Amino acid sequence: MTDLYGYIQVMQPGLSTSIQDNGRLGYLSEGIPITGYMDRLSAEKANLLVGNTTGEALIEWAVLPPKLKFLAPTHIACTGAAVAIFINATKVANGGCIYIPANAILSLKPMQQGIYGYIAIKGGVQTPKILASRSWFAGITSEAVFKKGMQIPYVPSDQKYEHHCKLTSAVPNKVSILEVYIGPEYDLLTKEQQAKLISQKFSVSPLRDRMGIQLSQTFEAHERSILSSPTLPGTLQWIPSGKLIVLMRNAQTIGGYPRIVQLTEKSISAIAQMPHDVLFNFKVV
Amino acid sequence: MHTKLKYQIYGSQAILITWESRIDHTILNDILLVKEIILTQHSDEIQDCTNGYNSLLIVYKREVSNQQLTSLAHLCNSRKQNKKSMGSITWEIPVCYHISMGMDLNEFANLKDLKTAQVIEMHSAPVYTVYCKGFLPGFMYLGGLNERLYCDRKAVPLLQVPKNSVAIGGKQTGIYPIQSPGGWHIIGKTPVNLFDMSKKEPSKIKTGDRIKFKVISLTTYIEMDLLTDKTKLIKKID
Repeated sequence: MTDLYGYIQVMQPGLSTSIQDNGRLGYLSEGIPITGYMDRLSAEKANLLVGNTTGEALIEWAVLPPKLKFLAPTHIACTGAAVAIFINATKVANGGCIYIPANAILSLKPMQQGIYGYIAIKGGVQTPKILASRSWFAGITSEAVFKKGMQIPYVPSDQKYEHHCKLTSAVPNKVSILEVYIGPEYDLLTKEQQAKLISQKFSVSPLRDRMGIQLSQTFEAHERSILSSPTLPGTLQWIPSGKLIVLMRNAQTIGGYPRIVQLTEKSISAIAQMPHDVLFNFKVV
Repeated sequence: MHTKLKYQIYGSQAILITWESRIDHTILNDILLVKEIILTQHSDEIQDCTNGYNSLLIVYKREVSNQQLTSLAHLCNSRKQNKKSMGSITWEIPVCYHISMGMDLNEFANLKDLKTAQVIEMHSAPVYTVYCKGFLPGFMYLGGLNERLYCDRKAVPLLQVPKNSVAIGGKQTGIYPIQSPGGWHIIGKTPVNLFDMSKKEPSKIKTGDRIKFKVISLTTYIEMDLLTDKTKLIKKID
């Protein structure tokens, strides 16, 4: 039997590994989160390296990468969290676009830098589109995370692929300043609190996932709430306890906590990759 | 005269319009009017548009400028006051309040010092308004719950509230469109599929529409549950 598709066989699922694209756009009014790449900059870099158009679906993993067997030949690119790349147990350089022969096993060894890693496949992953997106999300797509033995479809590519862009660095830049816009409820902060939000150093806590990232430091307790109102990925919510939460790609679409600042798209990608021991400042732009 | 609206750029690609902070039919009506005006005038530039109780978020395909904000404010402020409801449809949704479908019904009735029949009567009598959607895909924030049924959320949330459960939490009632963890009191279940991901428009019920629950027996529930196309069970009523 011939099959149009090649398949990736999941040998080890890794942690929170899923298929993501540039998101499920246009369904906020149905309460459907946008989802999509946590670190858009790294994901789009991976797509670019294998010649994909922007927004293509690829594999995203967190902290612990998956081990994958490619049943048909293709080209891949690995970006985001730093890894050593092994094909059939032989180490290969991460120079950009990497050729994968049929039945090759790809294993990645994490190098303790960055959180989210991306594996783009030439032509994009071909899992079903649900509501105009391939991004996995529990309740919308039939699967939410990789499981051992799963088969992920793609279109094989055997021909030599001339990639024109060279990889300068697969790993995201280190940052200590996160640029933000003033949020809808910024005015609920006193002048002193506004100054403190800029001068105080913050770091990300272990309470982080695709929905949101809680910051380790307590800002200031308050008793202000708003009527449930739309939120966006990158919104910094001010919780009554004084904790701050950055809403990420899978966050619910409506919330009742003050939205004090909004991270720029670049800052959303940066905080997704931020290690716990880095102190950073917000900078209003 | 309508109240003054607040216009803000939110992030780089969105504009947020905020009304005064009240939960009110007339505000919802005005939000839907403004939404319609904006979508009619600028549909090609807009990627997404959604509302809260007193707010409307317009997400654009490109960055928004201060000039755009000003012209949007001008467009919205020149609107004519809206007397009639914005194309609102009333839907009848069958709900089975049998104890096998609403696992917390007896406990909830005890907690509120009511008979289960009274809970069912009070819950199915009102015509609810869909104010907005969120929390879960397809989840509708409904206004109009009888105050006698207001009830704090359960101390320990259930890890898996079954899909289509009808529940009460705080001052709100709602239907879980997908299986999810949840702390609301489960008092019944509908056989209707309110949310169908295979459709381009996954839900027939829109913000601003109204909902009336119709009490059905366990037998009727089982009969309805056997039907292949369960979206047809939801009916428009006048």
